[in-house]
Amino acid sequence: MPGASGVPLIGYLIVAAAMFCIGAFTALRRTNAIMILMGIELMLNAVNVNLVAFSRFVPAGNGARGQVFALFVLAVAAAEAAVGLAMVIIVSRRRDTIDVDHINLMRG
Amino acid sequence: MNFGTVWPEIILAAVGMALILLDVIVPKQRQRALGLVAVLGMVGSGVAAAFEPRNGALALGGMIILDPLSLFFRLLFLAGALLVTLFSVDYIRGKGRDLAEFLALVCFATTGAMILAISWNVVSLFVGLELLSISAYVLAGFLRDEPKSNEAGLKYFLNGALASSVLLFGLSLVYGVTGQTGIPEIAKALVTAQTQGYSTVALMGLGMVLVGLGFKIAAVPFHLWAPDAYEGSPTPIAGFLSVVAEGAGIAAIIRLVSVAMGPLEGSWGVWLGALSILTMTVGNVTALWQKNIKRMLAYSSVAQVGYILAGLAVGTTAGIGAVLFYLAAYLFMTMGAFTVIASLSSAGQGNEISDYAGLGVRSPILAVLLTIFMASLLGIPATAGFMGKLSLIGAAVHGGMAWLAVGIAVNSAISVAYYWLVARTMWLDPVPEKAEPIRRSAELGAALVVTTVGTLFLGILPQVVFFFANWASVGIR
Repeated sequence: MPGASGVPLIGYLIVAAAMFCIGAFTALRRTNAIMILMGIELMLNAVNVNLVAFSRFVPAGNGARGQVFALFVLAVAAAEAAVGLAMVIIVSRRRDTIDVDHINLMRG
Repeated sequence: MNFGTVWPEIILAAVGMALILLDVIVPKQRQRALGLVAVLGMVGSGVAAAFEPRNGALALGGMIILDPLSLFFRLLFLAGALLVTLFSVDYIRGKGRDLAEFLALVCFATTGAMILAISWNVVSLFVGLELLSISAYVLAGFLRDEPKSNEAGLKYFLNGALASSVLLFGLSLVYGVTGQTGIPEIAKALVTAQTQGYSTVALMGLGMVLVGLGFKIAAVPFHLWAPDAYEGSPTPIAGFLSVVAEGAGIAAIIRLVSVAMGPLEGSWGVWLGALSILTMTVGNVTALWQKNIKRMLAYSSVAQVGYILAGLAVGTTAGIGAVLFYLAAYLFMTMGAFTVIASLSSAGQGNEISDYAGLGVRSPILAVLLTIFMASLLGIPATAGFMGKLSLIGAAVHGGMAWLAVGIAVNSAISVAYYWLVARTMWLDPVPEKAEPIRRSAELGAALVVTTVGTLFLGILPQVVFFFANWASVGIR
């Protein structure tokens, strides 16, 4: 069942899955706090691609739910990024580094 | 739309905003009174919650449900927030930070937890979870001048945000399979989806939801952030994270996994049980060699999450009831332990376990209380923790998962070692040379009285809370 553009659902899902994996890989492998944050944002956007793609293909009448959910995800992601960047700024002012491998006062 | 059904949340959020306003009006030396404002707001919210319907009525277009479980979690989170408020007044002022800002964030975080617990739709559940989480990230990093607190906030944030995105991806897959975001509609649609052969995608979604929530409640192997977040956070927030934030994660698991995805076929109950055994064992064993008491309590609370997950794995009404009772018991004993730690560190004492040497002589009352809380966390009879573990073990045996009961018993035996270490240090080690006497304020005294009475009451006369917990667990689906 292709969408209006002729692309089948699986195409969108592959893009979303790829975005999610790239984001997860970035978040888990990079040590720069900003890069980790960017990885997380990529993962959240993969969620949005998924939601919007599904909303086009689920039975009629249920599509709006996914689109509204995607809007909520967008808003919350913005709030999260604002708080996260503020924290990174505080850490970088005090420690002169945002490399999470070097932010390790606590161990054990 | 009838907003009267969310009065408790409206009141609490309004008090949070009022606190920010009062911060600029009330002079700095009078700001101690703001603690009272927050306490009154939380009590008012609790009273409003008690007057809400509890017959399973839906409100706000079906986004929230007012059932006994909603009432239980609302009161649980408010009680946790109340205790945090009581024992953070001295602590935060002692650190020279802004009390109003702190209490406002506690109010917002608790509002988020309550919204999550009353949600009947994954969208509102997610918004509640994020309101809680984002406020909690700031609270963990609240001591801006302390590098450890910065680090705790940053680590908690990075892990929490990662967890949220994994959880959301899982939810998006579930939406794709069912076309629904309402919790009961998802449960219904999953039944038909299974006959159409979509259960693999749904199971993937369930798995990712569990991973995301596993991060939030610090279940092994997703617990690595917890010790750092607990050690570096302000002590009241360590208590808040372990009681309110984890309780909210458990509420989300009940609503999302037990209710919405309950119809999914497959052995996910067994997987949850395996996660439970892994969590309690790793938590207890790692706690054995901790030197810092907050870090030790962090691993101890990882272990307690393991016990709670056992009840969820069983999944019967009795299992959920035991989980709820355990959460109530956990509220009093963990908050009590953190209150003692906070009163000691307000008096200038360190957080290493060796700093507790001779506490039995220096401050017998605090030492007795900490011993009671440790005994309860361990599960000694006549304490709340004992009744909690007993009901979890009973539910596991009756639910046909006796191996979980064995796991809980073995793990309780392991945990004797590290709780005993603290008790021995307090009572048997010699008093250090330059020991200072310890002062207590009225707020801390109140928090200590409430937590002690709660711990002993639930251990000796558990019937009332048992009844409440079982009543709340009957109607969840």
